[in-house]
Amino acid sequence: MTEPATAAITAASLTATTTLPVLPDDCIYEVFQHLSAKDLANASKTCRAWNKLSEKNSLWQQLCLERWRTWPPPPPFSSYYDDHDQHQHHGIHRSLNGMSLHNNNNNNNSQDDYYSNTRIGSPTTSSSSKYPSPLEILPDMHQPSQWYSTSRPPYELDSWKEVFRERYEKDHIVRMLLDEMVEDSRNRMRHMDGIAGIGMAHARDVLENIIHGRNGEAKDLSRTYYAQKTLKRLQRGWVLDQWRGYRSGHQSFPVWQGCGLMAMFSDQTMELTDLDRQFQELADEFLAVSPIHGRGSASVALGSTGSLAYGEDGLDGSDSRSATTTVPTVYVGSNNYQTGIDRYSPGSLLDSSSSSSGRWPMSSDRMHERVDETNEHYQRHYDAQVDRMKDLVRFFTREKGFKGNTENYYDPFNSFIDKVLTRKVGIPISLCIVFAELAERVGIHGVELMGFPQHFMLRYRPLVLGAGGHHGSPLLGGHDGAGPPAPPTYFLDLFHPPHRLLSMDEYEDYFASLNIPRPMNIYRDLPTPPLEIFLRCLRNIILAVEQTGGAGRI
Amino acid sequence: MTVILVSSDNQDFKVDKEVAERSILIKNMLEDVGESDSPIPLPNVTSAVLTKVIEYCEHHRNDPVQVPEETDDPRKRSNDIEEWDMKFMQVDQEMLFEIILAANYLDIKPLLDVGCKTVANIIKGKTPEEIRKAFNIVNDFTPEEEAQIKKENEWAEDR
Repeated sequence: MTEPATAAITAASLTATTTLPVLPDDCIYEVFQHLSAKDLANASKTCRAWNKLSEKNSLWQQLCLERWRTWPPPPPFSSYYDDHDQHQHHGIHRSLNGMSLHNNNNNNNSQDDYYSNTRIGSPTTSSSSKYPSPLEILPDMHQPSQWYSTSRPPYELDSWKEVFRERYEKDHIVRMLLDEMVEDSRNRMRHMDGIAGIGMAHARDVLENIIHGRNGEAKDLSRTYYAQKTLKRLQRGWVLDQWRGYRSGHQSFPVWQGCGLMAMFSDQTMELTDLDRQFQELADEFLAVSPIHGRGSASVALGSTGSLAYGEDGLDGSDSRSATTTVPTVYVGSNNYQTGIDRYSPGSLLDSSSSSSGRWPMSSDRMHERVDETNEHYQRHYDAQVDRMKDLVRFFTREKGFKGNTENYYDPFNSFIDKVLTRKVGIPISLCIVFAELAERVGIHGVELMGFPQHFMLRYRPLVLGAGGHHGSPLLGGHDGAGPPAPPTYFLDLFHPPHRLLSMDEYEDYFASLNIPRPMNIYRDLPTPPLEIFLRCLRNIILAVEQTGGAGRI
Repeated sequence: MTVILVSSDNQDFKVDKEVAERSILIKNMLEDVGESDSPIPLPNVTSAVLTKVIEYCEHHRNDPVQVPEETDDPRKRSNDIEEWDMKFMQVDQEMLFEIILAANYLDIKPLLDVGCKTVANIIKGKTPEEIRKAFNIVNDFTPEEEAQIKKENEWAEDR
């Protein structure tokens, strides 16, 4: 395109005897920023100065990020890493840990704590042995960095040029295998597996580039065809791997992620990162109106610090005698909770005070007074949480307009979580899953997924004060009226109107009006385990496809 | 309102303030000095180069002020040079380099960009030997070094 200019300059330089002015390094660097990888490699071969300048890491990082958008999980999972030194290990892991910490905040929900004992912590360096142990390699799906697609690699490297070279060569292998497939389709399964062996993260980009004719890939009908087929196979294989890991207990993921994986199985363009972003946008929108620490319930918003906050908040000013003696009593009370002793019975309070009775004798009158104060405090705490929950329900059903797809109940898209998020219609179970995840993200804990025959609802109980974790399911046994009140229980049906929290009194009528068999013991039932939820979702999809005969759509 | 710029070979250039302020260096200078008729010396720029630079600034006097583009998406490969700019850059290589140097010194980012893109376009598709020829670069590698570098960059040879 600059043919005339180039010609003129080349001609001029051939005859030039004058010494050219020397460009300063930052100008050359500027020039290099406009070069492709290949041209940059050639420029690096001209002289020492240019060689040094062309090695600049940021140049190659830019080239990498331009060329590839899918990145493998961070080291030690990646092989990039093997020939780099220890120094990098540390750098990367520091950022990794930061990331996992952040993510725990986002994704921790009651189901997690409940079922994910098998969850693996953030990866540790494999400094002891060159090859990480299988346990270290197993991915932890809570980290977005473990999803095979992100717009940016979740790590920084000192040697982007190496990364570029490695991926460039891998792209080449994929291209070769694909071309062989085109020539002789009898070997295609073997070649597809070969491409799969290169890794989802690597192969995906080049296949997509081929499909879309990007990055200088020639657009060719049969190549595109096989690239598409291979990509589909790769993605399905990847999704199945995640489920295998899940079933064998090697990894866990929240319910919404599982549903996302289901949707991915049939839709290659769907990505978990997109889904995550959509959820977060919804959550942020709500948080902008109703921040977690609003309404003076700050002391209880965080379960793990709840007991401490309670010590200050609930007793300040109510105990005029001594600040130093008040805190321990409450602490013992909440410790009992953690060790599993029934926290509601007044006996535990008695026990705890008697254990420190030497220092601080407590009369029975005084104790009742304390119990009343405590009750009141609990009540305030519950009310604040329930109010916020009501706000969220309003936000979800009114402002955002999520509702049951009553017109077309058997639309398969009602079961795909990504479609529910964008179309804002679904069936009871998918609506519940979306809502429960949203609630977690805005800091409302204690929302449980409750599956009944033919129906799906949410149960909500405000979090108990001082609970160490997010166990949302306090059983009501042992409550004999004298201790702190049990949290109120509500139900929420997102499919049928009226789309609001139903108290225990209302829900009897509600079931009668729906003409659905009333569940036996809805207060004591455990929430439906994630695996069962997944199976129900799958059954729904199958059923929906059978009903509509719409297998072609998915 | 006009300002007077003085090139390194002591030639005066009378230009509109608006045009001169395409150079961030001059703009800042004028802001620091305030209203003043005194000429601005530019000891690093010859009159030949300054003529070219002013030509560029005249043509682009009404362009919107460039937003800082550091955070911008890095997809700015050399293909996107405006037609006028491309013509403007059809100069001999010495002048091209001088313009880049002047743009760098005067802090005229768009001109610097165009200049660098033009240079990048010259490099594009050339072998190392051709690049050396184009820019009068002296190969200062030892044979061992050269072999090593060739090996390191082998991957880029195909395709």
